[in-house]
Amino acid sequence: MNKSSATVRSSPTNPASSSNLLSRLLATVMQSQALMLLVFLIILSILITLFAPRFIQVGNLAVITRQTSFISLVSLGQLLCLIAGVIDLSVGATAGFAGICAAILMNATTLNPYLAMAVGVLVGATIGLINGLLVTKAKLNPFIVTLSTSFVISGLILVVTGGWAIPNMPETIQWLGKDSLGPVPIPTIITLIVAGMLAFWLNRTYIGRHIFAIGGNKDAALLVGIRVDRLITLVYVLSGSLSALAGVLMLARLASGQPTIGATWLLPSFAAPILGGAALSGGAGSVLGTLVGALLMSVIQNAIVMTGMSVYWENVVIGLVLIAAIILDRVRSARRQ
Amino acid sequence: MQQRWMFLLCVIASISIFALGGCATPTMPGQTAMAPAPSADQAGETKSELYFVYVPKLVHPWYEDVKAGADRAIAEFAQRGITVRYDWDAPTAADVVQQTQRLEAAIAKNPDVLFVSCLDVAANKPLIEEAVGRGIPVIGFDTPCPGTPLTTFVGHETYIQDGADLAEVLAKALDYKGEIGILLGSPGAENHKQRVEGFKETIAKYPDIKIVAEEYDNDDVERAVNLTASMIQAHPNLQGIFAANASSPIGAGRAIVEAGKKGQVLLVGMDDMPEMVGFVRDGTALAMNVQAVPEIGYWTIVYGVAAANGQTTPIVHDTGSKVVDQTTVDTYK
Repeated sequence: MNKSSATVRSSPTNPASSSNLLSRLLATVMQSQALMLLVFLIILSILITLFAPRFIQVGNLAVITRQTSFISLVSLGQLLCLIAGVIDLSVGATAGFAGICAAILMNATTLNPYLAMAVGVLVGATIGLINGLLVTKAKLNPFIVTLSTSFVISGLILVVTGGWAIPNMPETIQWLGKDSLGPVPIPTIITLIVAGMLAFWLNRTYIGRHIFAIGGNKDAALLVGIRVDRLITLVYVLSGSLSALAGVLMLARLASGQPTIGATWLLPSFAAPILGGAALSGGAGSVLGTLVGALLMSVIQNAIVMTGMSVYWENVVIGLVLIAAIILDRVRSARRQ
Repeated sequence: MQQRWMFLLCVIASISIFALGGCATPTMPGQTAMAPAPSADQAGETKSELYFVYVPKLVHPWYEDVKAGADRAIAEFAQRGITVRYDWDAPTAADVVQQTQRLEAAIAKNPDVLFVSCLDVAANKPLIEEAVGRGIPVIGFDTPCPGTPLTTFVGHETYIQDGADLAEVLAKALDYKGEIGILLGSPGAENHKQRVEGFKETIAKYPDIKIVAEEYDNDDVERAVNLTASMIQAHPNLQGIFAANASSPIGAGRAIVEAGKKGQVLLVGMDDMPEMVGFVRDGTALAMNVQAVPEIGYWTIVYGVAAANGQTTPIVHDTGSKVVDQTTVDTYK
């Protein structure tokens, strides 16, 4: 996961000034929406555990992290788009279509199932490439472009499947969705690896920093010689690939190609990065924040089952938490100014 | 200028995709776009050429079995020299406005009989009345439409029994004691509600069985997996799950396999989607409740031919449902 700079900075250098240390730690946390969210999540988890002690058990935490992994991958794709100041409304449809493509290849051909999954991810990358070219080369509005491709792709899913699921996926790939390494679910491990790579790429490489620059001020980025069009296209390719990865992993988890997969992923794909400090206006956002944001939504869903609350409250609570996160962000940025 | 052209191109592309989607809905053999055959309405004589229109709730694979049953009846009538043609005018989504448009168009086609699957009683009623007013008999199928002048209804009139039957199966397997959970389906769906009602009524007879969790899965496989996984964590003594629609048993079954609880958490659920059939076969699920879907299609055609010839047909033909378990899973169809 993203080794946040905060933990490095807060390492005790002078044990004598512990109050000073505490205030510095607090200041660091206050500066980062991701860390504040993490603190909030920990407090929330403690509260939930008081009501439902089983919440904190390893088995339940595995359930939560497993279900978070899929939405995390899609949200990371969306995060890249948001940082670059664009938007991808086709993430859910891409995930679903990639899963269906891989499922069909596994069922109808003798292709190696892992290769079929790779083809699924490639399909996602291709959809991303199309989105990216339409936005950068044809200069079309990202909202309209990705909305349209999302219609096309979700329509194609129905055309190809006729609404039927594709059952009986090979046993060989199912471990990717349902197994665990020790207590940690495989999809969680995959997500953490991907997230780590992305965090490094975004924060420690020129190209990553350039993507922040594009989202922060596109014209300035152009002026300093950043190849804006190329990088925005790359962001869409990555977004498509990450969504597709989530889709094929879900295929492995469900052991069947479900035509409805991804249909409900779009809104959480925005909620997670925004909870974690991404701005719709671009130029901001973090991998850690996105993971914590996604985790928070899963924790809320799980807690509602754990505490026996009516499941209707789930959306109410998530909505309220989102509003709280945005207000918090406002307060912080106001204080900074 | 270039931008405008690209935008136009996109609009055209998206429109043509929508149109394509429409074309891709399966057409039945012999089904054409030609105007309905004028019915030679001579008193006392059996009409030898009939034209029907079906308006279901939406495009859904479930209806393929209805069509299969209808085609079987049509083939039988063909042997007796009666030709039946039909149009299948399905809205792309379960949307009242879309279905209303389909119904209006269907009435304008002036079929010998109109078949309607009721999506919304209030919205469907005036159109059914209009069709009847124009002398078109309207036969309901799939979902009843209470309070409307339907000639006949073919299908499941009440879903209460579905839940009750599965409750008996589950209760017996649990030796009439233990903790169970329910995946309720979608909050608005009448059939899901009735199944849960029937299930709970039956379970209430056995005081040692406790319903410890009830969650809305919204007829969504992924949601059902996650909710079931959480449910198993929240209630370590959970021994049974009732899944009230076609999607939730698939999700519940996967979650049971994932948690390694196969055989410890017994699953009963609705419908025979291929995955659920697999779960019943390999023992992950105890039983499924299967509607006699092809029968619905078969009897709509039979009653349609009768109604078009002015004969009396039953008010309700309940095609019912049956419980299928591991012993009958390979022979039930």
